[in-house]
Amino acid sequence: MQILLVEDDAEVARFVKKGLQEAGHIVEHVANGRDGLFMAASEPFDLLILDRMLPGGVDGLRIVETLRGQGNKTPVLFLTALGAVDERVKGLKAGGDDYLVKPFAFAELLARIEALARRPAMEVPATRLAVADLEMDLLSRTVTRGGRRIEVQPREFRLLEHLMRHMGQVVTRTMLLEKVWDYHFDPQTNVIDVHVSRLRQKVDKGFDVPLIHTVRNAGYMIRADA
Amino acid sequence: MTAPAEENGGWRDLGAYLKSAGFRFATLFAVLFLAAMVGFAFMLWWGTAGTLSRQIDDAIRADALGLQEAWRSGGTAAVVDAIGERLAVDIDDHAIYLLADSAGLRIGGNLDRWPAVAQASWSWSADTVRRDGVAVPARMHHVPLGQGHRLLVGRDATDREKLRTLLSEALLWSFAVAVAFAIAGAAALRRALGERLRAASMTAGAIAAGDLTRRVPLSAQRDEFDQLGASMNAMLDRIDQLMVGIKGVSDSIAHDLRTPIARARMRLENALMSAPDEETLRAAMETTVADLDGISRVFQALLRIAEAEAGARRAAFAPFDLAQVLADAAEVYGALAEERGQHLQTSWPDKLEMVGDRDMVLQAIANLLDNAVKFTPQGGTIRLNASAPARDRREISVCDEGPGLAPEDRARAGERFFRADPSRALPGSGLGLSLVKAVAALHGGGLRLGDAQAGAERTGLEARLILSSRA
Amino acid sequence: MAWVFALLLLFAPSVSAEHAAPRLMSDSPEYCAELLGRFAALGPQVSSQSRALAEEGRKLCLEGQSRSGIAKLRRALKEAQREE
Repeated sequence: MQILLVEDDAEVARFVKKGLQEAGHIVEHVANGRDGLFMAASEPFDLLILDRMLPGGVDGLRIVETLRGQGNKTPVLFLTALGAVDERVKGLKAGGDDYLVKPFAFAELLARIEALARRPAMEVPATRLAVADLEMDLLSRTVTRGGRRIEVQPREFRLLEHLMRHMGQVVTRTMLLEKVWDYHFDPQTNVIDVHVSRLRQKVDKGFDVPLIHTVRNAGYMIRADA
Repeated sequence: MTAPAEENGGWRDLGAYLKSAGFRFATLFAVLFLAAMVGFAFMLWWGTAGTLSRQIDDAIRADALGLQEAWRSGGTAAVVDAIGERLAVDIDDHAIYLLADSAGLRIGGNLDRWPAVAQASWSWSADTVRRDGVAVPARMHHVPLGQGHRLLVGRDATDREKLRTLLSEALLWSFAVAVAFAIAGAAALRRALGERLRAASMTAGAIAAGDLTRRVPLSAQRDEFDQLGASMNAMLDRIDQLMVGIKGVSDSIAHDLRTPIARARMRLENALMSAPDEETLRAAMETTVADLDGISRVFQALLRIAEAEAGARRAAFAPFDLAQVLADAAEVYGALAEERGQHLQTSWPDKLEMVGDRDMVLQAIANLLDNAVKFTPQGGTIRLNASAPARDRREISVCDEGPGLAPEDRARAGERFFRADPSRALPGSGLGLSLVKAVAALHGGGLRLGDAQAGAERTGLEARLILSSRA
Repeated sequence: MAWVFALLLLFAPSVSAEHAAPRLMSDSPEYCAELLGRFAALGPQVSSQSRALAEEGRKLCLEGQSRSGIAKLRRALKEAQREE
């Protein structure tokens, strides 16, 4: 992916750029808002990673508002220390697609931008999702594996659906909390793990090939190959 | 060079004085007072001099009508006779009559000639007549009788004039006294207002100058000024409380966050100095990343608590169904409870509408459930209930089967970073209940801690989260 | 000199008005006599009270106090009228 990173902190920029390049993406970096806006408006990128507080008179919010005003629909992820819920709401309202607060785990950043990049393709409504011999019928709300029907509770269904829509991508615990439960809260203990393990019991146990994988220090992924 | 400035200052002061509320109120009072006086005077006049005037006019009119009757029945002679008889018994000596022919000559009555002013088309007139050489005021009414004859009936208005003069003088003096009273009253009013306000304004001045411990002194009267003072005091207490809170946070941060930061640093330094191989080094670094994440989360929690306490989130309140939030929380933690062989029992009505911050309420319930799961032994039961005990109250209760909280610890449970002894060993930052308390306060309610089973050895904790259902 | 004239003119109307004011004739000795005549015309059946009043009135009129006399005579006549 062609990514534009607008970040004024040199250390953070170096860290992010290096990590993303190692993951196979092409990263362009500018350190102030005005240059960022100029670049984003004049060259095509697959994704923008923007800090909110930027020098140069133009901050992250202004960049997004301007781009959206011009009809630019490039996905934008805010990467910022402004973590209060009001700020998150502001960022998303201005036209941002995701919001990650510093300090952050690199795996989380990676998982989220890959989820963002995948999104447009998945806008097409699908009625069935499949990974290897696991099938999910979205209309009848049923799950089958190897032809055998698996009973899942409504929440587990949504959890599985989310994993399958992002098959092959890392989905972090925070992303699951936000998307499946629609909440922004911080559980003291890893309650998400419990739910995923329950799902695993139903989907993987008794079958040859485990589909739901734990990605160390990151989250989970559903994937056909081991 | 100072003289012009002083002059200007003098005019400015006067301007300020005139624009002051005290002056305006006082002026209003004075104007109303004087208006009332004027109204009173008018009524008095109308009731006395006015009545007298009306009586005189009525008497004249009746007299004239009587004489016109006489004319109709007996012509000139009858009128002259009638006039004569009336005059003969006019003890008050007030009556005035004149019957004149078409030439204007006197035929009867006690007036020697037709008064000049009684020529106009208006049948009523006032003029002076001479009596014994003295001019006296008279009220007169003239009517045509027929064949060019005219009749004039009048009354001596001396008494009326005397009364009028007397009344005018008295009223004028009264008005002067009233003006004096009005001014005095206005000044007194302004003074009284100033006095009452002074307590509040002086306190405000002292606080602005830096003495934050000052409060507005309240009088025993409990009037509107005292209410203002009481509101100001409440406001100052709140500010005080917030400042104490801020200081508390700084203290907590200083004390309780430095430890994990120091620990992380030590671990890294140690690894740098003495790690035998890369593997150990890596392990040390991974642990440190986890430590840093933990610190970050503590910060985040502290910020949320501060946000909730400052009431900043109130602007984002929206209506939502509490029952749905409870169901979600139960689902999320239900799995966890199951994992530990615990049983989560729930009960609440189908719908519990309220207005508030959905995320924060979930966070509060999650924290309570988290604690319950943490402290309840394997095989135990956790109860999550909710109800609407009153139309604008919502109550959520979480009961566990752990060691409970000693009464002396309960008061401190809401403090940031407070860990009661039994829980010190367990994971958690000690911020959970602090946030619950802040969320409850934000929603106009509170957190009550008690024994789930009083009297038992392990009493268990009953945490009741009380919320107002309206913003 | 002209201003004295103007001043006089100013006052003139009021002065002439004074003289033009009508005069009440019921305060004169002539009226006294008229009332006495009226009383006498009432005849002998009047009460002693009214006769006494009339007598007082006559005396006053003769002394020149017309107004007081007229007042008494009027009271006498009124008294007589009341008795009818």
